[in-house]
Amino acid sequence: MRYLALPFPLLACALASLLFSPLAEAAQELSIERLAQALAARGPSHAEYQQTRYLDMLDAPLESRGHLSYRPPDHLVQEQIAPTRQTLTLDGDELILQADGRTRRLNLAESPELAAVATSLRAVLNGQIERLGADYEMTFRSFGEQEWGLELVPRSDPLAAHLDRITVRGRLVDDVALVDRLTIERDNGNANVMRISHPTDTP
Amino acid sequence: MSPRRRSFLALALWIGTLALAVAIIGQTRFTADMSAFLPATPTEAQRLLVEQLQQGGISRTFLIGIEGGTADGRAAASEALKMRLRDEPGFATVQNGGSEDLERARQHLFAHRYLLSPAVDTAHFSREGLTTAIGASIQRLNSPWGDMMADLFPRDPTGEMLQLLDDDDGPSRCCGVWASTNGERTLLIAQAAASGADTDALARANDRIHATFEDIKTELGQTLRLTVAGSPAFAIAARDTIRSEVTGFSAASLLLVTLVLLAAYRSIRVLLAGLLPVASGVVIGIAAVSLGFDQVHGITIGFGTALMGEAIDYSIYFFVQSRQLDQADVVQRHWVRHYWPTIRLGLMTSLIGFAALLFSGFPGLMQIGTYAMTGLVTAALVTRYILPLVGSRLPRGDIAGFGERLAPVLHGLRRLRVPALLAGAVALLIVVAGHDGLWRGTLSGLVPIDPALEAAETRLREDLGSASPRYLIVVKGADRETALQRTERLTPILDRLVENGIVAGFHTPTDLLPSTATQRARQAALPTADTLRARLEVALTDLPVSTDRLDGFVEDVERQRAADPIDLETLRGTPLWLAVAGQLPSDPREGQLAMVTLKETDTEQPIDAAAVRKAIAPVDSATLVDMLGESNRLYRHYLQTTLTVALIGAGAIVLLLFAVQRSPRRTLRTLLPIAIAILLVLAGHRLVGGGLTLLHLIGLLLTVAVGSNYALFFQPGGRDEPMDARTLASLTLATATTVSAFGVLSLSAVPILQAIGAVVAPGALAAFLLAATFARDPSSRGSSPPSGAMPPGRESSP
Repeated sequence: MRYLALPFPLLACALASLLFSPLAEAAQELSIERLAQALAARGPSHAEYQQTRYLDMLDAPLESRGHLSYRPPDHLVQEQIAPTRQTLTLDGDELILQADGRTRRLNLAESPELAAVATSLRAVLNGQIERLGADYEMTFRSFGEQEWGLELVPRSDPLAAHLDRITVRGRLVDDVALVDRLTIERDNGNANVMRISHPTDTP
Repeated sequence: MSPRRRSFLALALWIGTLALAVAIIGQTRFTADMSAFLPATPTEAQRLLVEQLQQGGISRTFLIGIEGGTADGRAAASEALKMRLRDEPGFATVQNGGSEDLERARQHLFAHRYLLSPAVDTAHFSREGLTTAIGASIQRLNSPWGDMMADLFPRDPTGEMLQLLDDDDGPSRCCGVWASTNGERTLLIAQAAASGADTDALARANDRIHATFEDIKTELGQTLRLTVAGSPAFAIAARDTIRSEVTGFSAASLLLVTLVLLAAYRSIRVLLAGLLPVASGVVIGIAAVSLGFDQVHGITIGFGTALMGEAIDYSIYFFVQSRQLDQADVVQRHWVRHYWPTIRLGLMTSLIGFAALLFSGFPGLMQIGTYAMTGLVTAALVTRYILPLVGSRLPRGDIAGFGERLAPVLHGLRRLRVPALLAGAVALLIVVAGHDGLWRGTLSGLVPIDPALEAAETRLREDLGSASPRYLIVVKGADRETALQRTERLTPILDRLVENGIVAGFHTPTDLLPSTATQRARQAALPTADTLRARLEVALTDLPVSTDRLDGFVEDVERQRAADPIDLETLRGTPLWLAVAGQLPSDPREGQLAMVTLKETDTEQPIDAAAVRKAIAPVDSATLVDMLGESNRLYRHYLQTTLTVALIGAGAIVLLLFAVQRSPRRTLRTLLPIAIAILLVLAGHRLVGGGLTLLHLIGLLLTVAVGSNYALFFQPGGRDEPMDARTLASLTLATATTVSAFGVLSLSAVPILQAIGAVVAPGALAAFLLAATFARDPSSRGSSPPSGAMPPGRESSP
């Protein structure tokens, strides 16, 4: 019985895995194409995150933190350390949640809704960011030479039924594009903000 | 009474009986289902097992797989097949894991979560309990998975739904329907409306699945492939194989026998007359079975007629042995005086042998026994009283020359007595040394299984994640409520067994359908809306959520507090019904049954049944049933019974022969060839074959039946002349027909036919040759009394 909502956080994680994609030609203007190239060329990566959840029915936001790691082509792990230890793994088509010594599995091909998320995930993970254009209205912005932003707004159901927008903010450090902040806004007013700190941030 | 009048009477009686039998057959119900080859049942657990095998949910559930085409095409075909089959009266339910089914199941669970969740009690809804449960839910919200549960939180802040969904793995899904893990196959299950014992109805349902799929395939224009497995598919395939093989191989046997006889008689009329005893036996045999049993199984006729092969021998004996005389009444008198007593004795030994079938406990075999015994008696009587009237004057080829040429060869066999005895001794050693593995103690192998179907079954079962349940705990109750209450007492016990690693898990109907008492108790633990609000005010003090956000929760608790408890009918229309109803079979004799299935920790290892039995002992009427173990035990019981009866029969045959022959030496010489033949067959099967089954035992009985005829002819009574050339020829001809007919059967893929063929063909041949080897020496001719006058030395020296 699968009734749980869609795993948008994963999409965020996948986007977050752009974090240290080196940009081949730093001199060039930042563009979505360059971002895609960087994405396609990236190797294994690792970062820490802090997440704040704003839930409509709760009076206060929920804080959590943990690690993100990515291994090409499609192995992605979000390991939450506090307040509870839980791990969410994407392995190919399979989503695995481990918590309290139990493991739950979910296949991304299971339903049309999940499949839509899976398509986005794969597009991001495989560096085919342009494919996202089919499902999302994409807006790329660069703020000067150092900072950039990407906004994804789903075009149609089933994604649009649950998701308002995903916003990514990043910067460029030594020819490497880093994601600093990821925001997911849900249709019900709930939102997640993930702040990512990279190993390169601490000298 | 003048001979003419006697003949007329005999003919009138024969024709009258045949007419009556035909009339009875006209009223007879014939069936083709296989359940007759499941044992009738001696104990309660075993009766339940057979019922489950015959009628239970499993026995009428088809497993369906669709492959090929595109993923969307497979999903569309799955949906279309489900929708169309659901409208057919032949199906009770069809499921494919479609999203609307899941949604319906989810809605049912959600709407009744406070009646279903085992967590619901007064403590859970106390202030502290609410703080703990809601606090835990908020923790879950704050996890990588959290967003996926956020929608549920406002109405289910205590997390009952998660409890209910926790253990449910279910099959994988792809594109909105059940699919194999690799996504290459969509899966459905379809339960036929008919009883699992009604193979005809199952076959119709099977045809509907195939036909509907063909339509859908054409409409979709994709190259999709359909696989249908599940117990009913096996039953249908087994029946079809048996039907076609019984027909085919019986026809082949008949053709061979006809050719052999035609070569010998060189007359079609004689051939036809020779079939009169068998044909009469078939007709009267069917009528007798029809009178004794509700319905006649098709297999009985195909298979029982093979057992009646001995009857062909009768007419062979008559036609060959009475060749030399031309006058009908002289023929009759001579043949009746010289040969009939031997045949009659042979008939009696056969009847004793076949009587073992009547005690086998398998209704199918009991039918076959009845059929073969009635048929043989009829055939013998027709040979004795009718054939001399209609057949004596028929011109026919004489095979006395053949017998004369054969005589020296067979005579030469007498030199092989010592080797024959040695061979018998070696065979005896093999059988005694290997008696452990001689008989196969499992039920498997009684029905033919198509390996391709078996592979498909394994694949689909794995895909659906449904291991075939071997271990069941059965609970009985006068009504459903009692049975459910007792079953609920098992849950904590089984939880402990899972913790201790004795079982891996269990599936109980009370998860989805708790007893009314339990549901009422849970309702009683739910506070009223006002109380709940007041408790929440306090409980939520330290949590980041306020009471007014949880109005939906308060509403739902209030609604379910006052709702009617769920019963089986509430589940109808949800996919949950199939699972629950299948575990709650009601039984006219036992009242209500509830079944809990256990999952083994290791499929290779049987579970510790003693530990489970001990643990569940406190629960009234709870019994552990090991389906595989039970069916094997059941089968061994029948095998044992039949073996015992067969041995008693063997003893009876010895006594009978001794009573008639009045000479221990002659009886010994009659029995020795049969005994050695049986030992050789047993040893042969021990060395090259798998274990012997009940069916082989029946083959052995038949071997004794035909073998005893040969041996009796080779050991004529004291004052009779030793065997003449015609008798020898008739025996050889009879052996040839038996060996060829059963040799053909041994090539069949149907275990029933193959087993009989592989025993009777070599057994009959060995019995014939050994009977010749141990034939009474011609030099004892005229000596009277023969046995006493025979020098001991001549007996054993070659």
